[in-house]
Amino acid sequence: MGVSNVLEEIVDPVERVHRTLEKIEETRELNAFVTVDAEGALRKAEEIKERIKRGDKLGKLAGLLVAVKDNISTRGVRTTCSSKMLENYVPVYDATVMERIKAEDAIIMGKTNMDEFAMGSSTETSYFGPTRNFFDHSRVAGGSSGGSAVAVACGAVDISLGSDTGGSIRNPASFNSIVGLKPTYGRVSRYGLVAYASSLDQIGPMARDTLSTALLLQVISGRDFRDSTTVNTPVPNYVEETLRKINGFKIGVIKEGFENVDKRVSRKVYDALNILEKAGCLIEEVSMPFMKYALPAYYIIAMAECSSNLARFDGIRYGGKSVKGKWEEQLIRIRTECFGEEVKRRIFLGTFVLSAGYKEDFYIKACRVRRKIYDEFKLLFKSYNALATPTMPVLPWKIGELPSPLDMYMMDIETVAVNLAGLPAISVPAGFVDSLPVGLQLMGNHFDEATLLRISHAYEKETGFAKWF
Amino acid sequence: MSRKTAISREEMLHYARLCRISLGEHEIDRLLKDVNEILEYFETIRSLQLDVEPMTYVTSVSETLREDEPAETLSEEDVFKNAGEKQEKWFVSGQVWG
Repeated sequence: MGVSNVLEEIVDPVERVHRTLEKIEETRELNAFVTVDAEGALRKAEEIKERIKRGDKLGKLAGLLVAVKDNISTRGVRTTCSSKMLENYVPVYDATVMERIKAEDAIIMGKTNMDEFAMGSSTETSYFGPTRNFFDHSRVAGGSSGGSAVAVACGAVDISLGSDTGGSIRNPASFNSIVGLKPTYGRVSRYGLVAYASSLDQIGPMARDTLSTALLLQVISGRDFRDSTTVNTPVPNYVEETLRKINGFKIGVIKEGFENVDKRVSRKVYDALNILEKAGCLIEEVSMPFMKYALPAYYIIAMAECSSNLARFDGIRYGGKSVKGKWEEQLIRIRTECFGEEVKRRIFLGTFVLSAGYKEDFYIKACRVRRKIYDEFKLLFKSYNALATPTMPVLPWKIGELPSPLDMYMMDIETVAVNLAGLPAISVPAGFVDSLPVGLQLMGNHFDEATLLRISHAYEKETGFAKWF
Repeated sequence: MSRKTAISREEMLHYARLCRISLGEHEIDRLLKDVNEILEYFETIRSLQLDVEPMTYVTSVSETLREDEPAETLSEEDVFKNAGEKQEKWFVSGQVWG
């Protein structure tokens, strides 16, 4: 459901929540939700119903059903990060994004499945089992925000929140044929987001259509004194911006982004670019020589930051583990038992690349590559409104199909560069190959989410992708 | 001189210890194989000669610091809500010394 018909649909929000709870039950096999907050959703729906009756003013998200990735802190509702470590953790405060969407009268349906601590590209590393792709249940949903993508795709909710450290919003958006936007670093507060890699993490919106994506971005954006990396740049009216024309926009197609890509995927993405050309954009090929170094640089930096961030999990203050006996032995036992394999691997590699003798060669070198990538992007944005690549190099794979961790890392080859440079990017549905979705990725200049939304909306008008379900 | 990084079984156990994670016998070989495969991939940037300053963050925090004013903090009940064990106003941890 899009923004335009929200008002008609909220006539009886209670009825809608009941229908959605049935829908979630019917689609349980997809494993999109870790926790369904039926009580909280019904309570909010009753409140909205009452306020409609009274003729009270309602918030921008009134009546919209929202799903929230399970690494975003929700007061009184379990927040597990899909990890055994936080299986019973119930936050005592809301993330800033939660405060903001609640203040606009959203109805929160529940918390969605993800790769453990957002470390993965398919939602297969979740302690609660993989989320299934909406279009083929034997295949992965993408990740790490797989649950948030599938909750939208299956029609359980209107919009959802994901988080994106190296592609975790755009990847599952692409694999489930929805829109997913990773905002500029600093656009949305990370207060209350359980940290994976703090210099890269960003919360963002997911929806079937562009206007709903814009609306949710509008609500969650802006400076927050509890996150000193948020900036004071004014928040535009994204919904109005989205409707503006795109004639004369220059889109640079990054040629390196089409290397090592399934030809069927490339063809679909070129088709999408042709549609944009017909809609009035100028499409040109550009080169980003350092793009090929983005993936190793990203993994080194992300692992280094994760090894530090996850040091806090000792079971003593949150996580509720028994800590009797010798402290260090218990610490090792809890971390060994409660972290999954991929999380341990990243903590291990992060510790290694930061250790004496290796830090300069790996971590510092990766940070230098990061600056080169940043500089390359900034140069291109002097001439182009947006840059394009496929979102994913392949079609959704079968659950359990990828043989090694490195094979999984390679799936992020298109998405990680913008995280290193702190840029915004969107994945837009670009059609299907053998009934499996393909996504077009568009990257924008810092704080220019509006351009990405405008292009997405123009493309949506041409193709009607929000109705491909 | 070959600068290729590969870690040995002994080094791996050392790093695991730094991470406060123990590895079962069956895990060691698999992790060693995966880690060395990944490190080999990381080699692609190791030999690059780059004359730029390292970038650790894309934004500066200098403009966004707030005033240092007293504000509400969590209640005692909330602070201990997710604790493994507590005694009065203390978190219980394992024995640290001795």
